[in-house]
Amino acid sequence: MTEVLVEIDNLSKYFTVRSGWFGASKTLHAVDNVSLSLHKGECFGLVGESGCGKSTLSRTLLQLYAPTSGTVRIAGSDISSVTRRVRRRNTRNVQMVFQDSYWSMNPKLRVGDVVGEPLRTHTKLSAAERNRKVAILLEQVGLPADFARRFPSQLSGGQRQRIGIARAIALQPELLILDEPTSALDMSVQAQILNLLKDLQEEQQLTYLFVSHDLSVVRHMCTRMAVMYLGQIVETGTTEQIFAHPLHPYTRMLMQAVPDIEGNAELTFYDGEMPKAIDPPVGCRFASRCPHVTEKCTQENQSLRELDGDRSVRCHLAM
Amino acid sequence: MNSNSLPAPLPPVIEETSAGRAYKLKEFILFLRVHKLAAIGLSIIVILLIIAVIGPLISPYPDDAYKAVHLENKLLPPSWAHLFGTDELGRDLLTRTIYGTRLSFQIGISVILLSILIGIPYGLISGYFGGWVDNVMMRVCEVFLSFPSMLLSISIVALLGPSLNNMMLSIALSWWPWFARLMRSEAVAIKERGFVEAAKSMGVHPLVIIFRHIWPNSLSVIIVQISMAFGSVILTAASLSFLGLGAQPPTPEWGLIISTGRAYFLTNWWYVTFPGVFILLTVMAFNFLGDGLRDYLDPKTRNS
Repeated sequence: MTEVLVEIDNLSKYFTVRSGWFGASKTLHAVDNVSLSLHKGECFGLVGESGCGKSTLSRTLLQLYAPTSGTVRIAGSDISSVTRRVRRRNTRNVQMVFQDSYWSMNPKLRVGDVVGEPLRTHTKLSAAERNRKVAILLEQVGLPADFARRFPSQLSGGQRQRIGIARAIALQPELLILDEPTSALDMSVQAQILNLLKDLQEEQQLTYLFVSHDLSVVRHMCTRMAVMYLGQIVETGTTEQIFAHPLHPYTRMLMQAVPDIEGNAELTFYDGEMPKAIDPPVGCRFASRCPHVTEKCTQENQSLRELDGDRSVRCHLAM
Repeated sequence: MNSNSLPAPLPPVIEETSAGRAYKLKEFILFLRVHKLAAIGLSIIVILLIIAVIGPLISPYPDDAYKAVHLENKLLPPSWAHLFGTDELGRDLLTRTIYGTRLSFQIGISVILLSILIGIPYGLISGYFGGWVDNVMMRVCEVFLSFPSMLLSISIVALLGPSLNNMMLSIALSWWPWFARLMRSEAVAIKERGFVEAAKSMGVHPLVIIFRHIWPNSLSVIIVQISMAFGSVILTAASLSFLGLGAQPPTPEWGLIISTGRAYFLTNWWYVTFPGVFILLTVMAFNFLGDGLRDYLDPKTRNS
């Protein structure tokens, strides 16, 4: 059961930012020494606020960015492998469902061509075979086959997101990255899409990396999760553990920010500025906003400590 | 692939786009009603195009287009027999102007085609790949752009020798950088869009991304530029022929007719006037249409 599919080892992605033509170049630590392992067939949640490096991490997994350092292994093979054949196989194995389905589809192509694109790229199916395969895929995501003739702009947001999912599973990838797949949809449609994703996962033994800032969705979908803050993982563990007993102050802050239907949640506001990912501060990166900050926090770099029961946390105060 | 479980081929789906096309046409007609200038431009272009296509059929004296000489008819003012009058060799100027229309459209189409064939792939590659490729390619472009286009065309023709073909080549060589730059800026903007990222993440070949994803999404901008460029190209061609660097006598080219007619301008006004009016109308019509199309195709400026 716990066969490791994706192994991210000390992965970093830095960007060089230059202010103006002759300005000094600075380093933006988008993803900083991230290590994670995803088990085959699980749904792994990755949570954090905007700008924390979630997207950079998923784009690195998709090979849209080359990692600055560290390695990513998918089913045992390194994604930044030098041989083209391996790289190509890895592209096939990792697919993504994008947040904004409208933005992620060429408005000039018909749905059939959108879904058929990965097949065109990676298989030698004839046009007729491809069309049939597209019809099957559309059926799998709960859409009638004649949608293939429509343009993305003629569909609703939920239908388009189903198209995005059909496109992503066309090649039967090992890992599916879901980049906030439901955040652009309204509540009832969100539920439908999430259920579809769950069904597909069961049917096809897919592994999901579920990137989101919506904690309730992550709780519903994922078995294990990681919380990211400013390029670093601050806490990992099973979803159950983290929701029952969040250890890192940042995780607690996120939990408290979730609105409660009874309306009896006490909202604690955390003051302080979020530091910039350019030249991050020494010590704990959350120190500027943390209510429990001590002297040690601002002076020493915090490392991710392993705790009992497959948990780890980046805070010296947490037990 | 579990291709063994493929179901039977789908029955053909009735195209829903015929209604869509009708709607689009309706929308365009509505737009022309509001944009009077674009409508005027389009009408003039359609009329000129018809004249160009059926020219030989409607010319009163087809022989006069090139070499005929009727000295007994020389320099007649406009009359029913010769609506635009005649030139110093007695050739009918209406016929020659009609043939000039034909030639001008041929020049316009050839030059634009050539500029596009060079400029579009150039700009697409430069914009899509970026980095040093982009830098080198754009610097080359700027070398062409740093000369006034007229001067550049004149130098190239002077180098190659004056003729119609060399003139067209020289105009195309001074025009392609404009298409290249426009295409590059479009490519740079479109490659940031999600569907290009999605295609990249699927491992789609860069050339496929360029021609399947980027090119079709930049068409509207290119169409506007073509319309704008068409008028200018015709004007440049007439200017070069006027200077004796393009079409050679007895070719019925507008600029060339005006050039010859210059000598008779004070005594025989009709000689230069009618070809001149045609040049004016053509250039104006294309600019009107180009302006209109830009408003029509660019949703940002389209709110009327």
